Amino acid sequence: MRRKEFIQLAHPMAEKLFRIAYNLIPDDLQAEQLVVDGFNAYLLKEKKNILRRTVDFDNKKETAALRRFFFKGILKYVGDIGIRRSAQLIEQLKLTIPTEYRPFYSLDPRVRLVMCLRFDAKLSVEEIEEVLQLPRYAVIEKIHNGRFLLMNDLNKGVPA
Amino acid sequence: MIEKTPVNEFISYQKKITAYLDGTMAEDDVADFEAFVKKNPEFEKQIRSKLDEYQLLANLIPSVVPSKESLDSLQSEMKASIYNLLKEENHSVWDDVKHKWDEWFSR
Repeated sequence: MRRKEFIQLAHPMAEKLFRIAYNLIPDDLQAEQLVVDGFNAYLLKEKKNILRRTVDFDNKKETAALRRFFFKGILKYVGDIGIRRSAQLIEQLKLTIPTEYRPFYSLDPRVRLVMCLRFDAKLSVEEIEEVLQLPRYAVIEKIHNGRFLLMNDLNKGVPA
Repeated sequence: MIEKTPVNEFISYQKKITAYLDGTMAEDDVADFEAFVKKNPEFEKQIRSKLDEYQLLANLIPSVVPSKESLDSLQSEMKASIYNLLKEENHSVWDDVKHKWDEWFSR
């Protein structure tokens, strides 16, 4: 694969990656930096595998599958770095969190990540297992915990 | 052992709605669940109500759209990373010239 081709595959992912990064760290600059750091880590680790692949942009199905493959690979690094940074930065960023999303940002970073991968990025449980390198029961547990805590806060009618 | 009465069966399938909508239900059970829903159309109301709850949940998860400046800046950085970190193998001098030419035009 040529670099130009990889750029063509990677560019449309930027918005989705930013959204997921923002769900980990609610700050524009920090979210942008997280995507860049995760993306760089992926490139450094997987450069040979990336260049070895071929893409046929005329075959839309194959292109979409390849883009999803790279997207999940990048997500792994964005998630890893983001979970660690989120724990360090969330205290500093508390004042910037919009009120309606306080319950969400009060969840554990891992739970937040699983929730946004499932309900926003619409990844399947199997794909989340693959991205986060977690066993199935751990992914399901986080989905259930996140759902329970958010619905509990909603029913209380009081933001966390 | 619990007797399999229609009410018990209904309750047992009711407990499975979450797993079905979450995508956490085992593949074998999905077909069985969908067959039950087909046989009991009134059960669909329960599923719809759960789906509404899921929509509420999705609304509690931020879905932030980056500003145009943020998105342009991000895509620029990603492009620069690709050029800096992914080095294509050049098999000949001509490949080297061609790649540098492409790179110069693309930046």
